[in-house]
Amino acid sequence: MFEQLQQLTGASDPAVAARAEMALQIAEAYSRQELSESEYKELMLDLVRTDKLDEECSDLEAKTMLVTAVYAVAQVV
Amino acid sequence: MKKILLIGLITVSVSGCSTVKGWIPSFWDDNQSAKIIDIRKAAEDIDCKQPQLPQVKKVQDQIVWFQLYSESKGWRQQDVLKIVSPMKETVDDWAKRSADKEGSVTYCELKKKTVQGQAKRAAEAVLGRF
Repeated sequence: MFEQLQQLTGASDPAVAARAEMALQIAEAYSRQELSESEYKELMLDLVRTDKLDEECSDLEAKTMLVTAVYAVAQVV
Repeated sequence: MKKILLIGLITVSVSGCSTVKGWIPSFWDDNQSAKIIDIRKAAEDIDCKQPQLPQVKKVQDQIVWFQLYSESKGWRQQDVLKIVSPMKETVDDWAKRSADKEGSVTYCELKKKTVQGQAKRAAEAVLGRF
């Protein structure tokens, strides 16, 4: 698991790389027994939540871009 | 031009208002913009050497304010509500744990990093609106 996460930290998508980096830090802290099992599970669940948040942000940004484009076209026409 | 308007009108008629509603984003709001930065600041200020609960409560309160304001503003705010919802869940779990028995310093540092990242991404989207 550590090796796979290590590889993903070099992913071209910065969001994937950041998420892998965070997962690696959590997994390493758990292996060093600096986290309890429930803390470990909660922090991993937070990564899933972060993915959801990122998805919603990208959706809003795409819609905003569309509105901006429509507005720009309306100004020209 | 008339053709484009006609196509647009037909599209709206056929697909229905609910689809169009889903395509219209929320627009710039001064209060939401300021509050999302308050959330970021509260997350940045967390010191894991200090008791966690009062600090986490501060972040939680700012998120609740954002949610209540956005809900009160109307249906078009669903997009920003969907953005803050995962952050609220993240912080709620932290507050619940801290109220029962404070988490470890490592837990606090990793949790802080997560909330900082979430708040930064949310702020980019909220402040980037038209």
